[in-house]
Amino acid sequence: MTSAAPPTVPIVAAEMRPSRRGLVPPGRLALRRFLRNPGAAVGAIVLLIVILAVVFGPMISPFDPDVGKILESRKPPSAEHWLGTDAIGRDQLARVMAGGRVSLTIGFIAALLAVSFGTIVGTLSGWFSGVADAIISRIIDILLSVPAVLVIIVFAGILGPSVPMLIIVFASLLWPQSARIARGVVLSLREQEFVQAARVLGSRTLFIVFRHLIPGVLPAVIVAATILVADAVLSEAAVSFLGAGVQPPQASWGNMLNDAKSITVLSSMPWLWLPPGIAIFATVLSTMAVGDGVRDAIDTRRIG
Amino acid sequence: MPAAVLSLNDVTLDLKTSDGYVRILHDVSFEVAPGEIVGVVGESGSGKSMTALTVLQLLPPKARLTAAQIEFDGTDLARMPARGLRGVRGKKIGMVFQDPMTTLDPVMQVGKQIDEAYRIHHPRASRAEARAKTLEMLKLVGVPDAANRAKQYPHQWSGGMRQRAVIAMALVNDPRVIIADEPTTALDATIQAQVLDALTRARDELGVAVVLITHDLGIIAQVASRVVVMYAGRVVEVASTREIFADSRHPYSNALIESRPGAHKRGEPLTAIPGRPPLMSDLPPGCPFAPRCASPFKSERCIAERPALELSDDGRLSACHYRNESQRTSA
Amino acid sequence: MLRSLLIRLVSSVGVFLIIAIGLFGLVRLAPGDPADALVPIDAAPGIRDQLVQQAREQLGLDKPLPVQFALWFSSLIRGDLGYSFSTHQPVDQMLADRLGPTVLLMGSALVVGLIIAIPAGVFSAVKRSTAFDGVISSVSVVALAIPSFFLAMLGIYVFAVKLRVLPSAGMHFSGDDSISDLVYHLILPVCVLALAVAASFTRYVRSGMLEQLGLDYIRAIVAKGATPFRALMHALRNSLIPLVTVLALFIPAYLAGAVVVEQIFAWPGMGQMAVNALTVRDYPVITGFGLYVAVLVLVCNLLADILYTVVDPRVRTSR
Repeated sequence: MTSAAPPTVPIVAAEMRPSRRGLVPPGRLALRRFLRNPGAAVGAIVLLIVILAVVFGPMISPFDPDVGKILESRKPPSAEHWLGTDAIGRDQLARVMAGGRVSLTIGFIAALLAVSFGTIVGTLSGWFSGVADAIISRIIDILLSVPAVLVIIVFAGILGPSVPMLIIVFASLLWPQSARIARGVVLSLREQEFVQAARVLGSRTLFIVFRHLIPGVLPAVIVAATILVADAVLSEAAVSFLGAGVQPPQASWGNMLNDAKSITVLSSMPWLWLPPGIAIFATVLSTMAVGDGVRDAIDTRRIG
Repeated sequence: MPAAVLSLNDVTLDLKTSDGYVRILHDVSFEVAPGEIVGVVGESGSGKSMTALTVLQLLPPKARLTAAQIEFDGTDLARMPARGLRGVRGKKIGMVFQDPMTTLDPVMQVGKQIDEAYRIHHPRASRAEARAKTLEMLKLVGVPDAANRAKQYPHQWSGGMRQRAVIAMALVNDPRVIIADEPTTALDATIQAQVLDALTRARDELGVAVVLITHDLGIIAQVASRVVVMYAGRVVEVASTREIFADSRHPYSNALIESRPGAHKRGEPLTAIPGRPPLMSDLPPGCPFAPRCASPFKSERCIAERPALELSDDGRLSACHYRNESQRTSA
Repeated sequence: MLRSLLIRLVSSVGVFLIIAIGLFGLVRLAPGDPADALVPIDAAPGIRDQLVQQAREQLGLDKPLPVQFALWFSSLIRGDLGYSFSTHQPVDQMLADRLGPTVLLMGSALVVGLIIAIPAGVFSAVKRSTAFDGVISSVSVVALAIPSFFLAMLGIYVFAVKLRVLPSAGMHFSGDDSISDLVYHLILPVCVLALAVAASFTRYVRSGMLEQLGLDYIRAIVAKGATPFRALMHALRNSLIPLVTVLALFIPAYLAGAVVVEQIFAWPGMGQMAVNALTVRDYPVITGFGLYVAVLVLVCNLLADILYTVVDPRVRTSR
């Protein structure tokens, strides 16, 4: 179950801002502010480590995450197997990294699709208003309350679990969040004077959209993207844990925790369930920290 | 004048900004006699609203009162602990704020809010007793059909009625003073009369003194008997309404009078006061009004030496070196 | 206002119909022939074909698709959801049996969660930017980032395995029907769920309170001579009004969380039923569960709409 904080729409600067060091483009100012925020900086580092481990780890590791040696099974962490082995003798560290690849790939792709689609829909809906906007808003409201985990249980129960299905369902249920944020930004920008001025001057609609709206919408959307990634990773973990997502022997952080939920494993082999759980936690937490950091960094209300 | 019901002495207030503490009020002093309406007038930023908040210690946490003596009912409000202040607020001194829409709790019936004001200070009172008092005050301020109206919510009342409800709420415990901070500013000119009417009725029928904070001299002319003029956090002149309009002894008072739209005949251009009020963090060494002063008496002394608030030879209180000269440049 | 609610109601029924069609279609798309599954494998080929044909007729599978749907939907309306492939019980009976434990779990956790969240949110707002606020915010964020099942595992490890003070699974020890035993089994799952509730809502309460405390009427109430407590109550009341709507919309996601927790604690609720059905591809049960979720989402949205108009006097009294 994932609920983001109450959505806040940051007010964003589209032009150069004065600062103690003279005029600075908003991007660089935001970056500086971001790096000065301890939580965000640490989060970014952790996220970077996770991504690097997950991308390069499986290439470096000498062990196969899917196939194990029975003789090596259930061994606690040692010099040879840094995180021990599981019931079939597979190297746990290799599994955690391979599982991370799967979980993060699903999370990022789903979030990317959702953010792209949602931003476009939200921007257009907010800009053009009218009946279409009303209908889309209503759809957004309803879709926002539909839980991805339950929908996937139903689909997986009828059609069988599949990773593409996971990505599609996540993307379909996550886009409303970014659509709502984008729409909110567009609605507030629309009333601002520089947009009104552009309209009066006769700028073509599409031009207005690109020149004025997108720079305002983009930062808010980046923040939304981090929320969505966190959401998707948590949802994938839950769904795989329940058996409706990534199927063994393919590892995913969620189904690794499923393998470990029996009392025997729980009590005597902590190396089997602590690493994937901590991995999920660390990834989600750092993603959220980065998101908060970006939001605080770009919010012009907090200048100075 | 008879013994003052409320007396401010040397109120000095600092406000914390990103550049450290800035002095917002400098030695503000004036008195309020029982049953009189005193107007406190000045531009935005003159410190008049802050003065109002200081009396009941309703200041924001960034404010620091460095010196003050606020005499009321035999005690010094500036040194009173929170408990005591709660006994004064809403009971002995009532407060009316500027925007009636945001001053009332939007999700509570108007009548209940006024009842609450009564029952806070009369905890053993019955609901009937509180409601009777509420209706009595609502009638006093001129709200029609009070008994039914009281069951409505603030958004169902018009702006003028809401402000009168706020006044009724301030009156419900028979205070001796009401401080009204720009009570008409958020309202249309046509509605202003209703609110001023409510205040004068409070004075006439209940003997309540009113400190009326405003930037509008027209209101002062209508209802106030005395005027305190403030500029840049200081009191620059105190006089009766008649005296100020006929024979003001400070160039700023004069400039305010001159800049009223009604001060000129039709067809004549309006006179605005040139320039802007000074930044409180960047006050000039001499008279704070000197840069904008258009008085014929203005001299080098004005720029170099800050005038104190002193009595003139004929008993007029003014912070101008030329307080003995009438500053009224046109009749 | 009533008119828009009516429109919402009608459109909700429409959406439900669409979802029912979707689920029906989905099941038809699924691999496997139900008629074939009913007939024993080892029957002789010739006889087998006959039996399969009979089964097909019995199940109504030889009729055109829309007719099949109409038949299925009409029995659905009457509450007949078919029979589970695995337990052979009527699905509606299963749903009814399982509803109780799930509601008990979700309800208790919601109450506990709110009892934590509201004071925590209020204090965070009042003591803004102090250490207390920082701690509460950090804890909330951490609680939101931990997957609930991982947290449950940690809880079981600490309390059931190492300290041995709480049971690790189930709703009762066999044979023990007492309330105290129930509570004993409730503690760990409720704590895990409640933490997630509290983490989300503390942030909502905090931001709602911060918004209210900055408004003029609070200052006016203090000017009336009110104690800080009374002023806080006014602010709280104002900030809880939008929260009620949020709560209604939260319920479907909350059920998702409960499903996961039920799985870990072997809690005999709807979640466990759904996951079991999922594992064995028990279509009738899954479909029943899917319809239940659809109804829940639609009802919660309607509820949110109704609550919004009823709870806020400003909306209630404007014509």
